[in-house]
Amino acid sequence: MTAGLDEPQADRSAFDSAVIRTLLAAFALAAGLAVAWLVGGRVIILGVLAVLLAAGNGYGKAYSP
Amino acid sequence: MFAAYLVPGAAAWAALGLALGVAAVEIAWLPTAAVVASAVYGCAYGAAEVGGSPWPAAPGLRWQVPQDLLIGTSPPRRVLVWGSILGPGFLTRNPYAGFAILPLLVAAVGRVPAVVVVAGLAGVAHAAGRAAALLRDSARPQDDPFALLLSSLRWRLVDGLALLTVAGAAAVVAGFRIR
Repeated sequence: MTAGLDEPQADRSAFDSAVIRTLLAAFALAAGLAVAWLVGGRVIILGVLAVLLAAGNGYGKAYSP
Repeated sequence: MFAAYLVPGAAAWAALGLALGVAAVEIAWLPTAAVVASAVYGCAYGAAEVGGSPWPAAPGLRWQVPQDLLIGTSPPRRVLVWGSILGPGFLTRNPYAGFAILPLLVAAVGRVPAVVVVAGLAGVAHAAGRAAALLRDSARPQDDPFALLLSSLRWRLVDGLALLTVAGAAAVVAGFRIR
């Protein structure tokens, strides 16, 4: 038993989680490709992403144990 | 309190941006190398974080602000110490790989004025996020350690997705530059 699930349920849950993560990863990668393509590969898009990433990282760091 | 975080954050990052901008003037291939490195780093660490793999650990220092630096100090001085150290974010442990890609992205911008502006804005953004999270935490009871750990794992997933987005964008920018 794992967190109230029997073994087949836990396996299925882990598989679902892996599938969802893979789909999210593919979507994130595609979003980055699409956005940079739409702005014609201009490097400033990396600057914009850096600022957004910095804000999220600063906020999320408070959750680190 | 925001000023105690934002000013050191902006100053430290703008100084880093100036150094990287000057280096890019001397080393012409540096911005292109930074774009390629961003794509490789974003893919590798993004995949690891999204996949939930504990390896590789996020690069960076393991240092934390020691308690004796704050014990017996006045509240304004304490905020100043916290703000100077946590605002820029270079000195303390950061569990998310998204932080270490920031200097690469800043270096990728290339021209000195733009690099300094982007770096300064990244510093302000990081410091503002950090200060906002502290204000959020001070206004509510502290999470139990298990809930904190689960939140940290969720943020690691979000950070990994953000890294993959950056990697995709960097790959396109590298393609436009190199062709």
